[in-house]
Amino acid sequence: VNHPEYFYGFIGAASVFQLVYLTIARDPVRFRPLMPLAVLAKLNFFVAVVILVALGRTNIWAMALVSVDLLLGLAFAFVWLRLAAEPGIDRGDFPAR
Amino acid sequence: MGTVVVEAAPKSGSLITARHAADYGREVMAVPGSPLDPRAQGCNLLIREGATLVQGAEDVLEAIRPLRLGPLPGRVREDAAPAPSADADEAARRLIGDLLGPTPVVVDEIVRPVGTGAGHRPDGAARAGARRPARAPCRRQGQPGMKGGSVRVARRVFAIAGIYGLIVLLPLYFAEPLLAARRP
Repeated sequence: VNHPEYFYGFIGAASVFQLVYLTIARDPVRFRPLMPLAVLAKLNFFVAVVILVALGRTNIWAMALVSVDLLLGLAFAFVWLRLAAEPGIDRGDFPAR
Repeated sequence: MGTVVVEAAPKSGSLITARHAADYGREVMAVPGSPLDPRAQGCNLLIREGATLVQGAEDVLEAIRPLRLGPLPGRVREDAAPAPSADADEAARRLIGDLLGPTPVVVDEIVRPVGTGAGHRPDGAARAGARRPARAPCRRQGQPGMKGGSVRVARRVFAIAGIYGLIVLLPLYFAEPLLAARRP
Protein backbone atom coordinates (compact mmCIF):
# COMPACT_ATOMS: atom_id res chain seq x y z
CA VAL A 1 0.00 0.00 0.00
CA ASN A 2 1.70 3.13 -1.23
CA HIS A 3 -0.71 5.57 0.39
CA PRO A 4 -1.89 4.24 3.77
CA GLU A 5 -3.93 7.38 4.38
CA TYR A 6 -6.09 6.61 1.34
CA PHE A 7 -6.27 2.97 2.33
CA TYR A 8 -7.52 3.70 5.84
CA GLY A 9 -9.87 6.36 4.55
CA PHE A 10 -11.46 3.83 2.20
CA ILE A 11 -11.59 1.07 4.82
CA GLY A 12 -13.13 3.43 7.39
CA ALA A 13 -15.82 4.73 5.03
CA ALA A 14 -16.61 1.25 3.77
CA SER A 15 -16.82 -0.14 7.33
CA VAL A 16 -19.20 2.62 8.38
CA PHE A 17 -21.39 1.79 5.40
CA GLN A 18 -21.58 -1.84 6.60
CA LEU A 19 -23.00 -0.46 9.85
CA VAL A 20 -25.49 1.53 7.77
CA TYR A 21 -26.59 -1.74 6.14
CA LEU A 22 -27.05 -3.32 9.55
CA THR A 23 -29.07 -0.29 10.65
CA ILE A 24 -31.32 -0.63 7.60
CA ALA A 25 -31.71 -4.33 8.42
CA ARG A 26 -33.14 -3.41 11.82
CA ASP A 27 -36.05 -1.46 10.31
CA PRO A 28 -36.22 -1.66 6.50
CA VAL A 29 -39.56 0.17 6.32
CA ARG A 30 -38.25 3.17 8.21
CA PHE A 31 -34.88 3.31 6.47
CA ARG A 32 -36.13 2.51 2.98
CA PRO A 33 -35.07 5.96 1.67
CA LEU A 34 -31.46 4.95 2.37
CA MET A 35 -31.67 1.92 0.11
CA PRO A 36 -30.92 3.73 -3.20
CA LEU A 37 -27.76 5.10 -1.57
CA ALA A 38 -26.81 1.58 -0.58
CA VAL A 39 -27.33 0.46 -4.18
CA LEU A 40 -25.17 3.35 -5.35
CA ALA A 41 -22.42 2.44 -2.88
CA LYS A 42 -22.29 -1.15 -4.13
CA LEU A 43 -22.51 -0.40 -7.85
CA ASN A 44 -20.00 2.44 -7.58
CA PHE A 45 -17.22 0.06 -6.55
CA PHE A 46 -18.24 -2.50 -9.18
CA VAL A 47 -18.24 -0.01 -12.05
CA ALA A 48 -14.91 1.47 -10.95
CA VAL A 49 -13.23 -1.95 -10.92
CA VAL A 50 -14.75 -2.91 -14.29
CA ILE A 51 -13.28 0.24 -15.84
CA LEU A 52 -9.89 -0.37 -14.19
CA VAL A 53 -9.84 -3.95 -15.48
CA ALA A 54 -10.81 -2.76 -18.96
CA LEU A 55 -7.94 -0.29 -18.89
CA GLY A 56 -5.57 -2.95 -17.68
CA ARG A 57 -4.79 -1.07 -14.49
CA THR A 58 -5.85 -3.85 -12.13
CA ASN A 59 -5.94 -7.62 -12.02
CA ILE A 60 -8.82 -9.47 -13.66
CA TRP A 61 -9.27 -11.44 -10.42
CA ALA A 62 -10.59 -8.28 -8.79
CA MET A 63 -13.74 -8.94 -10.79
CA ALA A 64 -14.42 -11.99 -8.65
CA LEU A 65 -14.38 -9.83 -5.54
CA VAL A 66 -16.61 -7.08 -6.91
CA SER A 67 -19.10 -9.51 -8.42
CA VAL A 68 -20.31 -10.00 -4.84
CA ASP A 69 -20.87 -6.24 -4.63
CA LEU A 70 -22.82 -6.38 -7.89
CA LEU A 71 -25.05 -9.14 -6.54
CA LEU A 72 -25.63 -7.27 -3.28
CA GLY A 73 -26.37 -4.05 -5.18
CA LEU A 74 -28.96 -5.84 -7.31
CA ALA A 75 -30.43 -7.43 -4.19
CA PHE A 76 -30.69 -4.00 -2.55
CA ALA A 77 -32.47 -2.62 -5.62
CA PHE A 78 -34.82 -5.60 -5.70
CA VAL A 79 -35.70 -5.16 -2.02
CA TRP A 80 -36.17 -1.42 -2.46
CA LEU A 81 -38.60 -1.90 -5.35
CA ARG A 82 -40.41 -4.77 -3.67
CA LEU A 83 -40.98 -2.73 -0.52
CA ALA A 84 -42.38 0.10 -2.67
CA ALA A 85 -45.02 -2.28 -4.02
CA GLU A 86 -46.30 -3.01 -0.54
CA PRO A 87 -49.37 -1.14 0.66
CA GLY A 88 -48.76 1.35 3.41
CA ILE A 89 -45.15 2.03 2.47
CA ASP A 90 -44.03 5.61 1.98
CA ARG A 91 -42.77 5.88 -1.59
CA GLY A 92 -41.19 9.29 -1.15
CA ASP A 93 -37.47 9.74 -1.05
CA PHE A 94 -37.47 11.10 2.44
CA PRO A 95 -40.38 11.27 4.88
CA ALA A 96 -41.62 14.80 5.56
CA ARG A 97 -41.50 15.09 9.33
CA MET B 1 -57.14 3.17 4.67
CA GLY B 2 -57.93 5.21 7.75
CA THR B 3 -57.18 5.58 11.43
CA VAL B 4 -59.73 6.55 14.05
CA VAL B 5 -58.48 7.97 17.34
CA VAL B 6 -61.15 7.57 19.99
CA GLU B 7 -59.23 8.73 23.03
CA ALA B 8 -55.78 10.30 23.29
CA ALA B 9 -53.87 12.27 25.87
CA PRO B 10 -51.79 15.23 24.60
CA LYS B 11 -48.53 13.20 24.59
CA SER B 12 -49.75 9.70 23.95
CA GLY B 13 -48.91 6.80 21.72
CA SER B 14 -52.22 7.25 19.98
CA LEU B 15 -51.04 10.58 18.62
CA ILE B 16 -47.82 8.96 17.39
CA THR B 17 -49.93 6.35 15.63
CA ALA B 18 -52.06 9.09 14.10
CA ARG B 19 -48.96 10.94 12.91
CA HIS B 20 -47.59 7.81 11.26
CA ALA B 21 -50.98 7.22 9.63
CA ALA B 22 -50.92 10.75 8.24
CA ASP B 23 -47.36 10.22 6.99
CA TYR B 24 -48.53 7.14 5.12
CA GLY B 25 -51.32 9.12 3.51
CA ARG B 26 -54.15 7.56 5.46
CA GLU B 27 -57.27 9.32 6.52
CA VAL B 28 -57.01 10.37 10.16
CA MET B 29 -60.26 10.67 12.09
CA ALA B 30 -60.80 11.66 15.69
CA VAL B 31 -63.68 11.54 18.13
CA PRO B 32 -64.04 14.89 19.92
CA GLY B 33 -64.43 15.23 23.65
CA SER B 34 -64.71 17.69 26.46
CA PRO B 35 -61.90 20.28 26.56
CA LEU B 36 -61.72 19.65 30.30
CA ASP B 37 -61.06 15.94 29.83
CA PRO B 38 -57.30 15.31 29.39
CA ARG B 39 -58.09 12.04 27.62
CA ALA B 40 -59.86 13.99 24.87
CA GLN B 41 -57.25 16.72 24.40
CA GLY B 42 -55.26 14.67 21.91
CA CYS B 43 -58.33 14.04 19.78
CA ASN B 44 -59.33 17.69 19.89
CA LEU B 45 -55.79 18.65 18.91
CA LEU B 46 -55.95 16.29 15.93
CA ILE B 47 -59.23 17.82 14.81
CA ARG B 48 -57.77 21.30 15.10
CA GLU B 49 -54.86 20.17 12.91
CA GLY B 50 -57.18 18.87 10.20
CA ALA B 51 -58.30 15.39 11.23
CA THR B 52 -61.85 14.47 10.30
CA LEU B 53 -64.31 14.79 13.14
CA VAL B 54 -66.28 11.57 13.60
CA GLN B 55 -69.02 10.79 16.07
CA GLY B 56 -70.11 7.39 14.86
CA ALA B 57 -69.63 4.56 12.41
CA GLU B 58 -71.57 6.42 9.74
CA ASP B 59 -69.13 9.33 9.88
CA VAL B 60 -66.22 6.92 9.45
CA LEU B 61 -67.87 5.27 6.44
CA GLU B 62 -68.58 8.65 4.92
CA ALA B 63 -64.96 9.74 5.42
CA ILE B 64 -63.45 6.66 3.79
CA ARG B 65 -66.04 6.29 1.02
CA PRO B 66 -64.04 8.41 -1.49
CA LEU B 67 -61.01 6.22 -0.83
CA ARG B 68 -62.80 3.03 -1.77
CA LEU B 69 -63.34 1.89 -5.34
CA GLY B 70 -65.68 -1.02 -4.72
CA PRO B 71 -68.51 -1.79 -2.35
CA LEU B 72 -67.77 -2.03 1.32
CA PRO B 73 -67.10 -5.68 2.10
CA GLY B 74 -67.27 -5.20 5.83
CA ARG B 75 -70.34 -2.97 5.99
CA VAL B 76 -71.72 -2.25 9.39
CA ARG B 77 -74.71 -4.49 9.76
CA GLU B 78 -76.90 -5.38 12.63
CA ASP B 79 -75.78 -8.98 12.43
CA ALA B 80 -72.09 -8.03 12.21
CA ALA B 81 -71.67 -8.02 15.97
CA PRO B 82 -70.95 -11.38 17.55
CA ALA B 83 -74.05 -13.00 18.89
CA PRO B 84 -74.25 -13.18 22.66
CA SER B 85 -73.47 -16.54 24.09
CA ALA B 86 -76.35 -18.62 25.34
CA ASP B 87 -75.24 -18.40 28.95
CA ALA B 88 -74.93 -14.62 29.01
CA ASP B 89 -76.43 -13.27 32.13
CA GLU B 90 -79.27 -11.05 30.97
CA ALA B 91 -79.44 -9.24 34.30
CA ALA B 92 -75.73 -8.48 34.18
CA ARG B 93 -76.06 -7.14 30.67
CA ARG B 94 -78.91 -4.88 31.71
CA LEU B 95 -76.88 -3.64 34.69
CA ILE B 96 -73.90 -2.90 32.46
CA GLY B 97 -76.11 -1.01 30.08
CA ASP B 98 -77.33 1.12 32.98
CA LEU B 99 -73.76 1.79 34.14
CA LEU B 100 -72.63 2.96 30.73
CA GLY B 101 -73.20 6.57 29.85
CA PRO B 102 -71.87 9.43 27.77
CA THR B 103 -69.01 10.05 30.19
CA PRO B 104 -66.02 7.69 30.46
CA VAL B 105 -66.38 4.81 32.92
CA VAL B 106 -63.51 2.76 34.30
CA VAL B 107 -63.87 -0.92 33.44
CA ASP B 108 -63.44 -1.93 37.08
CA GLU B 109 -66.40 0.26 38.06
CA ILE B 110 -68.53 -1.81 35.74
CA VAL B 111 -67.04 -5.16 36.63
CA ARG B 112 -67.37 -4.69 40.40
CA PRO B 113 -71.16 -4.30 40.60
CA VAL B 114 -71.63 -7.13 38.15
CA GLY B 115 -69.53 -9.36 40.38
CA THR B 116 -67.32 -10.80 37.68
CA GLY B 117 -63.55 -10.70 37.51
CA ALA B 118 -61.97 -8.42 34.93
CA GLY B 119 -60.52 -11.43 33.23
CA HIS B 120 -63.95 -13.04 32.93
CA ARG B 121 -66.14 -10.24 31.71
CA PRO B 122 -69.51 -11.28 30.50
CA ASP B 123 -70.22 -10.94 26.79
CA GLY B 124 -72.43 -7.99 27.51
CA ALA B 125 -69.56 -5.96 28.86
CA ALA B 126 -67.47 -6.55 25.78
CA ARG B 127 -70.29 -5.80 23.37
CA ALA B 128 -71.48 -2.75 25.26
CA GLY B 129 -68.15 -1.05 24.65
CA ALA B 130 -66.59 -1.35 28.09
CA ARG B 131 -63.36 -2.57 26.61
CA ARG B 132 -59.80 -1.71 27.27
CA PRO B 133 -58.17 0.53 24.68
CA ALA B 134 -56.99 -1.42 21.69
CA ARG B 135 -53.33 -1.18 20.86
CA ALA B 136 -52.26 0.16 17.52
CA PRO B 137 -50.50 -2.32 15.22
CA CYS B 138 -46.77 -2.24 15.59
CA ARG B 139 -45.16 -0.36 12.70
CA ARG B 140 -41.98 -2.38 12.80
CA GLN B 141 -43.92 -5.54 12.14
CA GLY B 142 -45.52 -3.99 9.10
CA GLN B 143 -48.63 -2.05 8.36
CA PRO B 144 -52.06 -3.66 8.33
CA GLY B 145 -52.45 -5.60 5.14
CA MET B 146 -48.76 -5.59 4.40
CA LYS B 147 -47.15 -8.90 3.68
CA GLY B 148 -44.31 -9.38 6.13
CA GLY B 149 -42.32 -11.28 3.52
CA SER B 150 -40.78 -8.23 1.88
CA VAL B 151 -39.68 -6.79 5.18
CA ARG B 152 -38.18 -10.11 6.22
CA VAL B 153 -36.29 -10.39 2.92
CA ALA B 154 -35.04 -6.82 3.28
CA ARG B 155 -33.83 -7.51 6.80
CA ARG B 156 -31.93 -10.60 5.70
CA VAL B 157 -30.37 -9.02 2.61
CA PHE B 158 -29.06 -5.99 4.49
CA ALA B 159 -27.94 -8.03 7.49
CA ILE B 160 -26.01 -10.43 5.26
CA ALA B 161 -24.46 -7.51 3.36
CA GLY B 162 -23.42 -5.75 6.55
CA ILE B 163 -21.93 -8.81 8.21
CA TYR B 164 -20.17 -9.91 5.01
CA GLY B 165 -18.70 -6.44 4.56
CA LEU B 166 -17.41 -6.28 8.12
CA ILE B 167 -15.88 -9.75 7.84
CA VAL B 168 -14.03 -8.70 4.67
CA LEU B 169 -13.02 -5.20 5.75
CA LEU B 170 -12.07 -5.47 9.41
CA PRO B 171 -9.07 -7.81 8.86
CA LEU B 172 -7.67 -5.25 6.43
CA TYR B 173 -7.13 -2.87 9.35
CA PHE B 174 -4.60 -5.33 10.74
CA ALA B 175 -3.24 -6.56 7.41
CA GLU B 176 -1.86 -3.23 6.32
CA PRO B 177 0.58 -2.78 9.26
CA LEU B 178 1.78 -6.35 8.77
CA LEU B 179 2.42 -5.77 5.08
CA ALA B 180 4.18 -2.50 5.85
CA ALA B 181 6.43 -4.23 8.41
CA ARG B 182 7.47 -6.89 5.87
CA ARG B 183 8.31 -4.32 3.26
CA PRO B 184 12.10 -3.95 2.89
